[in-house]
Amino acid sequence: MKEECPICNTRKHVSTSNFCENHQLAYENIKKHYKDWKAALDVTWDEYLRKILENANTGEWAKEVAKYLIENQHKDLHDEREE
Amino acid sequence: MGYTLIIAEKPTAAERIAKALDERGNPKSYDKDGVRYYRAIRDGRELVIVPAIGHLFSVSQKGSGWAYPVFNIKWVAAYRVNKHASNTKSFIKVISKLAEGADSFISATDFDIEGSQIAYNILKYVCGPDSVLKAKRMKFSTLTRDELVKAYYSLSPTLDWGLIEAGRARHEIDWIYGINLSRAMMLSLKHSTGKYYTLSTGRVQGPTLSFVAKREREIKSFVPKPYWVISAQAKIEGTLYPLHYAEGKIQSKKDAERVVNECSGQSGSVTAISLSERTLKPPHPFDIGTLQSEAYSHFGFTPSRTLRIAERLYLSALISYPRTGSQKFPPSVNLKEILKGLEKHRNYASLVREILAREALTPAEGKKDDPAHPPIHPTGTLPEEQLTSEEEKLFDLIIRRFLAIFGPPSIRESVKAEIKVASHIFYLKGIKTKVAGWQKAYGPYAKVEDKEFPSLQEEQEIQVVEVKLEERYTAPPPRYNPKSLLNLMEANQIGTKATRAEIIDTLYARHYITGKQIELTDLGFSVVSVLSTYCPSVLSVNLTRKLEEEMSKIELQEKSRQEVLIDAIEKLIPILENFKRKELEIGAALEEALAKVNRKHFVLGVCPICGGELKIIKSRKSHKRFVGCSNYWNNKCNFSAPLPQSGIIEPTGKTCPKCGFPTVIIRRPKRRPQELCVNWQNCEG
Repeated sequence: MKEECPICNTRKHVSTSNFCENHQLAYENIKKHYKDWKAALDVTWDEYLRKILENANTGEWAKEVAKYLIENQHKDLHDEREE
Repeated sequence: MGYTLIIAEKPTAAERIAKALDERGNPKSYDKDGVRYYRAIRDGRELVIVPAIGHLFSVSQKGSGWAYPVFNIKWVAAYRVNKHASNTKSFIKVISKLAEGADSFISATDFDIEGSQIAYNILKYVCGPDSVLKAKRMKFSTLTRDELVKAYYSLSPTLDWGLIEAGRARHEIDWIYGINLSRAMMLSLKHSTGKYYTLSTGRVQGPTLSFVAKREREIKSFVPKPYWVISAQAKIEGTLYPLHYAEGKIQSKKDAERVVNECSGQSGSVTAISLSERTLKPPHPFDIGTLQSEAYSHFGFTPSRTLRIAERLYLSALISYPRTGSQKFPPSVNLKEILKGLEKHRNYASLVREILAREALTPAEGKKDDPAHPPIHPTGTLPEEQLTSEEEKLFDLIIRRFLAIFGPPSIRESVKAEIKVASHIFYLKGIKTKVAGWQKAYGPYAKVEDKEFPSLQEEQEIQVVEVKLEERYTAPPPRYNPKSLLNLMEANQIGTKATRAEIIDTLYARHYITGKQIELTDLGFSVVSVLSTYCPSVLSVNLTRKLEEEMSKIELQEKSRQEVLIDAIEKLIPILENFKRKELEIGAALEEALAKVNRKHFVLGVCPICGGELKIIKSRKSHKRFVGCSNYWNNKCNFSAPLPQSGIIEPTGKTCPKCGFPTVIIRRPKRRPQELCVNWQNCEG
């Protein structure tokens, strides 16, 4: 696993995590909230990511992670999501 | 026979003291090297009143060198170590000359840690060590004639050693922490990379910055959740009233749509009407924290601005000493006399008469007490000169608050009708003030909003119109503003009532935070990130709170200054040792963070001509800034464009829709920010 965050190139705090500390925090929030969006709107993971990317209340880091996840769907990363 | 030398904190205070103490109210004034001092006569004795101009002495390093740790300190004249304090030199010179003819001394500076410290340093380092032992203390909370004369006749026989020692300890500890930690950061960067960059942190600065950082992380990583609210309107006798769905937020769109479908086109029926009353007690008198908070809410004044204005009102003898933590009036304050003074002001005359007509004057009080000073209150003196607009606003707020504390409780009446539509419950709510009470005196500063309520009866049929569904999203926590950050510092007991506003200003001055809705800058993030990784205790609230507690013990004379100083140094040593051990790592992390900050400031985006990076570059020859391409040095691209030479230039991260070149924002004082395409010379947009 690379030592740098694929989004901002900052060194990762924990080498096994997917992102740097800040983007990892945002990623955890994205995973955690998917179940609420699924219950509320019955959206797929991809639809969810697009919706939070467009939402004005989404934080800057969360948007960057959502964008990264949309652009890198082939990667295993999003299999960790909580449904 | 010599005279008595009275030391005041500021020139305006010296003038007021001189006028109050001179039997004829007309002291002789002298001007020497720009310092105005006064000679007054009282009971046949000559009094010489001389001002300071705040602190004339500062803590400094003993010996030379720019290294850390540094624990050897001394007090020196402020003008020797601070280029902004050059005006203090003439004050020291004049006081020194006047001290030669004095046979007794009075400290008449503000009665608090800073004031006591200012007079002590002047006595010790200018008037001579003997003067410290001879000096008496004049204590007052307002600069009115009566109180000053009373204070002169009831002098404390010695200086207030608790406050002096606590003040010295605070200055020394803050200096030791600030210098060592800031040098540790800067030298880590220098030793690791050879680069120099001004960075700083301190005992209170660190935890305050970490509050902002924590909130910023919550906002930046925030993921909203959707929810739905249902709104409807009831048409009663031709007027529309809003109805609120009893269940509040609905978490699923399907459920929300079902409610709307079931209610649409249906009429409702009143199933219950309830009435309730709420009693609102009058507010407590102002301490500095609540004054700063209210002034921010009503006028948008930052805490430091409020303090500056309040100090001007105090020096004009219009209000009492503002740096107070008290919310309780001691019996020594003559409330009736103050009210009688305010009665002469036409804006408050009728309100005052109402208060004076009551049998007893019982002011509301809060929990906090400050033995040194009463709560902030008007003195009853009216302005002799026209106040500035900001002074007028704050003075009005202080007077109205003072009048409000004598008021009876205010009573608000709420009505709630429960309306059943299909199987769903909606509420129609109304609220009004039944008894204005203290709110009448507080006037525009009492927040009250009435909601009209129609006349209704149980089982009455209601026409329901417009049942609507609205999709909403949860919002991130709000950013702090200077007021809420100050309140948070107060709640966490870090800093003092005198220093909190200043600390927030320092964070702005260091470019760690920006904006009225406080945002952490990239530089602020970088500093917090490095400190939290390598020495988290610098950001810890516990460390600084513990030190504050220890310093309070000096004030109460439960601990000595030396004990607390040694303890503070012992807590700092392991932090600095850790810095030294990890200097290279810390330096590298700071460099990485600073490079990111610089990159964000100077890299504008992709060059549409060659794919290189367009950057803001400063010419070594002309020192002018311009846009250049990173591929210029490879002879691949020679794009360059001039930039305005005044104002701050910020990359926008966007490109021009016409030509594809990056755009920048130009910020100049007193002008609207201007967005500019860097290719403006050729762009058609």
